[in-house]
Amino acid sequence: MDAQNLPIQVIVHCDAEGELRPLRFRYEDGQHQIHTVHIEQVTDSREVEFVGIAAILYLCKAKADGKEHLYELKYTIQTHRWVLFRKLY
Amino acid sequence: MAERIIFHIDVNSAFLSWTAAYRCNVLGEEFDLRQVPSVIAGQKDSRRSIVLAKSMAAKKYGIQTGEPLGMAREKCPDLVVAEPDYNLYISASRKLMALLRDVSPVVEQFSIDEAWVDMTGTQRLYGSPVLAAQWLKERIKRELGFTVNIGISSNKMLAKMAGELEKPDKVLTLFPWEIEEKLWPLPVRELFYVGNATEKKLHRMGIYTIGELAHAEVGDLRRKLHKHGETIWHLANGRNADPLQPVAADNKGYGNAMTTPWDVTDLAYGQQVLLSLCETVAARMRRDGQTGRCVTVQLRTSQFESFSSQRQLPSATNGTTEIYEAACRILEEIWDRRTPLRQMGVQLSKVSHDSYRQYSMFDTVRYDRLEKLDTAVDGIREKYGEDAIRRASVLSFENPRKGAQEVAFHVQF
Ligand SMILES: [Mg+2]
Repeated sequence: MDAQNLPIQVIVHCDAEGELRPLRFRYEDGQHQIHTVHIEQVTDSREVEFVGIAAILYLCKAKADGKEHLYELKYTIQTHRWVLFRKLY
Repeated sequence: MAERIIFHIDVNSAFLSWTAAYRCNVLGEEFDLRQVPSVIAGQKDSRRSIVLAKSMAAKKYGIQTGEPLGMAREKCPDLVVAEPDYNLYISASRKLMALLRDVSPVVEQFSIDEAWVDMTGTQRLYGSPVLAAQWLKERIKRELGFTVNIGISSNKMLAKMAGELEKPDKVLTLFPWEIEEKLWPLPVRELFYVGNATEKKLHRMGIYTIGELAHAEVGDLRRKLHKHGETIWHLANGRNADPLQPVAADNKGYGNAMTTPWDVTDLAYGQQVLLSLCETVAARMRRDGQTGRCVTVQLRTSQFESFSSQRQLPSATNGTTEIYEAACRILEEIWDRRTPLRQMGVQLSKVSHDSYRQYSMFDTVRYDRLEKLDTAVDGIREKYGEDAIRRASVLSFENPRKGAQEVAFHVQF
């Protein structure tokens, strides 16, 4: 399945070491509905540099409508943009 | 002295691989251009735009780099076409070169997707050459998302030819003791620096394989092909004639050459390549506090014929502008603006430490101010990276075929 690459607004916590931790993000779906997701836990993060484009991927657990979901968010360092890369479940 | 170990790293179908890797690894698309017959071409919907890179599957249809898209589509109606993204290619290339410099301090970049790495004496660090190359190849694939060929030998040319033997994603060796078995059976056209014209002449002499060339009388070759004949004869015998940065007679020069991603056929693009070469050469000289008086421009056509010419400057310099202006005049003198160029080089010789300048009453530019500008640019680049500051004309690298007139050199104060 192709990734979604949905642009998102994010609230991020940045600690004194420069580590980023996304806390909350907001996106618009195909029906122009705005969804806000509260991240419960960042379960994993990794830095990538494919074709020279440095980015950090975050696996984020969140609850919505009583169900648990796993999102992969991507932060592109050069552009400072965040996307909802894919929703795993 | 211990034998040298040289790696030649070459990205497989560079533009295509980079676009494919971007789509798969950065955008997360499933579809992979590398798995289907596909090409990179200037404009998707123009029959006349040129194929810049092709996938292995497209190659099976006989599609060639440099041919018009219309022709490629006739060979393969289902051909997938993608347009080039030069910013991406520069980013991918830069990261690859940075990774190589991380592996060994001695890296010579040959083109946007090719470089030699001197691995002599790294055995204790990385293990035997073949294992080290395999590790490096896998590291590039894992970290950057594309495949490379690595050719290994004891000199640059053999390393490059090793990398050509089989594609893609391979580590190949071609040491001098292997050439009889691996190199000699191949047709002469496979030899570096043998283009169509040379191939025809060799055929007329009854020389069809590299082995036959290696055993030919060097006198005959010199008569029919001049200096070039001798060069390729040495190459066929595995001897490196080091044709990459020919050093001028009085030695001790600063030079830089590059193989362009595609053939240079218009003056504007040619000037742009010269400018970026002059920038590197001049910056290196300024860093070393050197100046030079003799500017040489070397050109190599897509048929691998080379010619060059030089020009004396009124006084020694290391200023980008002066070198560039001289280089442009040489280019206009020696090039007919039609013959496709594949490689261009700029060299500054007659190097000295002299730092005073002979002012000419006819100087059209204020050299002192340019000197300050150059120093400032070097400082910014050193501090913030090569990319921090660029000439306005280099930015239009994105579309070198358009805006021909805009490439004129602008310096703003
Ligand atoms: Mg290549």
